[in-house]
Amino acid sequence: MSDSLFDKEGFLRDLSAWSEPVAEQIARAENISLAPSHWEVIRVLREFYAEHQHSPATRALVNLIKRELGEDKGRSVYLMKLFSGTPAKTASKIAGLPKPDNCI
Amino acid sequence: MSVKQTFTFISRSPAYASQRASLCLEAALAAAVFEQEIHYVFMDDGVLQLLTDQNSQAIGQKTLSKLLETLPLYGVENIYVDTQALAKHALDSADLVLDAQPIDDSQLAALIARSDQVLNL
Amino acid sequence: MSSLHTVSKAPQLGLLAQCLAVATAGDAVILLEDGVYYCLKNPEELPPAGDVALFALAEDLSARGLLERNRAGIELASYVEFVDLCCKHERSVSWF
Repeated sequence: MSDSLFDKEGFLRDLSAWSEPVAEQIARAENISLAPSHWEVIRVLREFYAEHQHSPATRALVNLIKRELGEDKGRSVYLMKLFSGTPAKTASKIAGLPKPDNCI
Repeated sequence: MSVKQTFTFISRSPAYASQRASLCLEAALAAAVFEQEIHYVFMDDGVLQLLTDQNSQAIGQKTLSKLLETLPLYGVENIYVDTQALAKHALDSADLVLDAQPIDDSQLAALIARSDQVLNL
Repeated sequence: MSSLHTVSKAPQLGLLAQCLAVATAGDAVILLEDGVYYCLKNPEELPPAGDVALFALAEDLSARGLLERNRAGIELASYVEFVDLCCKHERSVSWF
């Protein structure tokens, strides 16, 4: 797979080029091994993006996961464990979505 | 000076023909990320941004109403709509994508008076 | 906790009336850029300002040939006075 699929920061350039193997590849580059707990977040993110055309920043991601997957998972600590220090950025990247605005 | 400030965003323009509506929203989302107290007011023709059934794919833009629906996820719960403007366009709350509280001129005046920052687009 | 409102578009947009509808006693309004064309109106055509002080930036009137044509009798402010107004009020609200 060619590197030109990705931009400088490792985000997929063409959103339609995403597939589960591509997600695995992006995750490996982030030293993350995808487990079911990752995939359910990725699925929620991709459904949200399909509806709202927006990659959520951390605050909105936490609330989105809380709404879709419950209180236990809708916490920034939980998401930081899954997706390292900047969950909104890393989870969007693995889900094949654009980088969220206002990443802090 | 307190870290948390009160921001009031007044969005007065319709979506799509100009950038004003989306700039106002982007500024509010940015402020929300910093956990500020945010009030978002749809005033005058800005209420038209809230109409249901928008699909702007055909004009090559993102559908603004879909992005507006993300405001509550960013903790922006204080959303208001200018009642006079709704009446002027013969619209009611069933036409809108968000649950917004009605606001009139004197309530908006009071909101401005207790805001640290006002962005009026 | 008063506000300084700036109105910087021509009268056809009706921004002065919108602004005065939500301005409160002790606020001030300054007309800037094309907003100074409100000075061409007769006083009775202006929206009622109540307890809100109304100013216009002299430099913008001068640029548009309006210095001698201020029929509305709106009080003129220089850039320096504009800055004073900004400092006197807690926040500014732009109407454009």
